[in-house]
Amino acid sequence: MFAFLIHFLVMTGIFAIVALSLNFQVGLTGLSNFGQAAFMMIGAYTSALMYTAGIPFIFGVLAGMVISSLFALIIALPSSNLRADYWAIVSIAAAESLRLFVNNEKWLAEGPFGLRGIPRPLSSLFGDNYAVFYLFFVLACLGLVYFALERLNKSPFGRVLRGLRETEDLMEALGKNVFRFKAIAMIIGGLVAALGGSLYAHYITFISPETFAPEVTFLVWTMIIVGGSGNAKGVMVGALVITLLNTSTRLLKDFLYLPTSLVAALRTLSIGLLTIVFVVVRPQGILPERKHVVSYSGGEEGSETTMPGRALGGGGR
Amino acid sequence: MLDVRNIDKAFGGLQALRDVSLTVEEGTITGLIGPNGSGKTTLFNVITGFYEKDRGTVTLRGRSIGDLPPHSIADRGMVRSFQIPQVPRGMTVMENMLVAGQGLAGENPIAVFLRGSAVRRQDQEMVGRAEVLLDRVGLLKQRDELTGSLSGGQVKLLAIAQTLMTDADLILLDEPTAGVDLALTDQIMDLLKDIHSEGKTMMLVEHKMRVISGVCEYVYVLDAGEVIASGEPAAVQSDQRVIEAYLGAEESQKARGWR
Repeated sequence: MFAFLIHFLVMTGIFAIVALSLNFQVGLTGLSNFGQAAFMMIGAYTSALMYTAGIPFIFGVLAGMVISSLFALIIALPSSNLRADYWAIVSIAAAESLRLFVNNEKWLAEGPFGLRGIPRPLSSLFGDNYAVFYLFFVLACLGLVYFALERLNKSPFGRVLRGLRETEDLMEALGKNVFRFKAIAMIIGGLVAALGGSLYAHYITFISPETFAPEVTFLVWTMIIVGGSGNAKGVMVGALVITLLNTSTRLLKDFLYLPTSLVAALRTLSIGLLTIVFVVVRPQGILPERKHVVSYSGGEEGSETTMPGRALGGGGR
Repeated sequence: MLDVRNIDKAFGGLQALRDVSLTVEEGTITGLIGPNGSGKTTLFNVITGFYEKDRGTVTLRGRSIGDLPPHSIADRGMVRSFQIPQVPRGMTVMENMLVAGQGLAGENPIAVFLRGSAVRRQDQEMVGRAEVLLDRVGLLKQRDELTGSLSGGQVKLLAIAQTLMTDADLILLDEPTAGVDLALTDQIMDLLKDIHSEGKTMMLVEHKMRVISGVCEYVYVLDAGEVIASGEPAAVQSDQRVIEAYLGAEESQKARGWR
């Protein structure tokens, strides 16, 4: 039970990082990115391959983030004049292309067989308590990501992102290079997602193209929808709820007298139902986006007033 | 200051603008009038870079801006408002003002982390400026309200305040008093005259003759994509072609209270 709790929290932490990165693009900027799994994949494969080759862990993770931001730029460039719906198409196409490429190559990453036995950093130091150490490591990364993205959100940079979410033309008219801001938002989201992917690879120690199927992207989307698009705390709560449903099979199969395959189906079903319920009944999520009151007397804080039911993707045109 | 020469613009088979030329002299308020569908907003969109033109040149202070994207045109000191105000409902009135600021260090995400105190200081300065402007248009009380909860008239005032926040010296306003009641129309007219007296150059698209003759020094009349008359408001109003253009559209205009 304790082992499960640690595992559940590590997975929550990793997915919360990825969900925060997607929220930065979807929730704040209004960019419908449906290729987030590809950014995780780049991070996971890069750091796994580099660490296996003997390069220090941190350099592999950073390299994954750099390659991931280049991939973000590749998606952003041809999409510069596209509206939200088309970003969705371009991003999912790019992500699937990359995944199918890895699936069909042999020379680099074993194609469909994936990478097995990915080494865990500092594993000799912690032995049996490795998961506990890793949990603290993941939570530290999550904290860093949370504070960095929140700081950006409240900065003049973040204001432009939230401005162009609904009123792209107004931002252009006010002298903001909308394409530049969108591209940077893609890059920031991409490199944070790559960090999440690296953390995943060295924890699970096995990755394959199948690990980063589009379902992973959709799973992260449900975290945003359920948690509260645009609210970082809400998105983390969403990651907790969805990860609980997604990992609970391990526990449930001991209590439910059902075949394993049925329990797995039940898991997908419950996530789907929960998402539908939220979209219909509470589209703003568990913790809705808060308005940002700018004040220099008491510091800048989100006020208690929540926004009037802005549903996900409200800015898409 | 702004020189527009021989603009053609077609949408498919529809010739929206035909050989349109006009000049906005520095320090004036220039009006652009014409019946619905005569091409006023299209011309605005061409001038500010939102539409590509088929032919012609646009020059701002002697430099061609005809091929620049909208944000570069704004950088050069010409900003516009929209006929249907663009309102980011998820942002407060203050945030709307701050986002209109120019040359903000904090728009660079790296500077947000590495030059945090400079970014903060500049932002604080901008808040002060924004408060003065909001007070001027009577929206200081709504400072921390979401723009989604403002009335139509308040949104119009916010849009004008935003253009002032940019520090542009040429302001293009697309129907700043459309859909606004009489009292507020007067308030907006006074505001425009006030802004003008501080040395800003303006160009307005307007429907209401009262506003045109009240604030504009020079007027261009557009009909079916062509400039059919120009001159001082009083002279233009008595121009035979202008009267015909408007009489032709009179039935639809009556309800809007023009004339």
